[in-house]
Amino acid sequence: MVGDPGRRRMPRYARDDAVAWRRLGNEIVVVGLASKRMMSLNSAGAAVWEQLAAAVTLAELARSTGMPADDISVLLRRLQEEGVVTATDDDTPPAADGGPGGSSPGPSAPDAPRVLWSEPLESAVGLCLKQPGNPGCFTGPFNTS
Amino acid sequence: MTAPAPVTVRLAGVGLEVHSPSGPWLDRIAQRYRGFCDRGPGEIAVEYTVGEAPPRPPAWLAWTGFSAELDRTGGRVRCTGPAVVSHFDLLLQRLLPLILDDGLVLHGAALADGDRGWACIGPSGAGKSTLAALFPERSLCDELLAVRIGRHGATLHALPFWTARPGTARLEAVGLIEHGSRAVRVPLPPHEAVRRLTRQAIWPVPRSAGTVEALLRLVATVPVFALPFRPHRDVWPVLTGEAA
Repeated sequence: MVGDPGRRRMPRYARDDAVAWRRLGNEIVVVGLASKRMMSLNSAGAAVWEQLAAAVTLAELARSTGMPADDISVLLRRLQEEGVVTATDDDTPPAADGGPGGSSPGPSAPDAPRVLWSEPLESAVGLCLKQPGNPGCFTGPFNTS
Repeated sequence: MTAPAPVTVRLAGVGLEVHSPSGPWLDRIAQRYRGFCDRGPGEIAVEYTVGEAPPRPPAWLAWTGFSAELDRTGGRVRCTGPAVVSHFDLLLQRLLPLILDDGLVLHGAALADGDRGWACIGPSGAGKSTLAALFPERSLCDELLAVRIGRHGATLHALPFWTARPGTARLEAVGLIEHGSRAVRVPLPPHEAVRRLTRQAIWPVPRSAGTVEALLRLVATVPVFALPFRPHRDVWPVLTGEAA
């Protein structure tokens, strides 16, 4: 298929299907079941996250949240790296403007949308076989098919 | 020849109906899980054949001498393994997180006072057995517990590991315990609570969203705090929040 040369490909961003998340206070905790990563988003990051229910472009996110597109872009890249957001190309024409502050230069403000922390989703718990004659803890390997 | 009557192990409100051609093995199961056992029907059938499991990957669970196949839609587990209760313990520890769609299994001691309960969570050496031993009259179990979360809050369930008696209570709070010089209750921000609790959850294999969602709901439902303590009964009012 040949694309319309007058149209520019705009990535659309959405949450990955294999994600569990919940708003807890001002933050949102996100757990990637496929990526096996968990993370927390600050208040601004949470506002972006909540817009990702449907696939949206960066410009749309900037408009709907009122945040600089550059800051949102940094967050989206990070969330893609964490495996909890996916991007797909879309042939819709770009918006007339990039949203408020779409060309914001310089370092992000402290309240910019960001991941507060992230780490592997792992259990530190060994399953114990603490029975007479079996003093140790079982550490696998399990077949995890 | 009539098959021996099954034994039903009830964990966190779920009946695991254990079938085996071996009557003596079922008697050992009933003895091991006494208090948590009855002869009524269960929701999940566990068929346990005593014998050496052949190497037969892929299985749901497999380790030396033991193999288990899981049929989730049929509510059935078929396993082969030795007549050793610790293998059965391990099977249950892996099965329960998978079948608790509205809850999770955590590494912790469960304490209850009437219908109010507290989950005291921590890794090995954090003081779970110490805390349980300080309050034998209130201790339900000292190693693994289950929490189920419904519309009306969270419920704490004792599991038969290791010093345990059956019991259920309304979950009031979760304390992440550790040894310290005095008992103090330190509220944790939600993300920190999630982070720490995640490390003490028994994750189902295969991993499912249910446990993660239950954990997030748990943190949204009840207070979670750090609880350093010394081995003294003065920890009780701190745990329950009654201390000034």
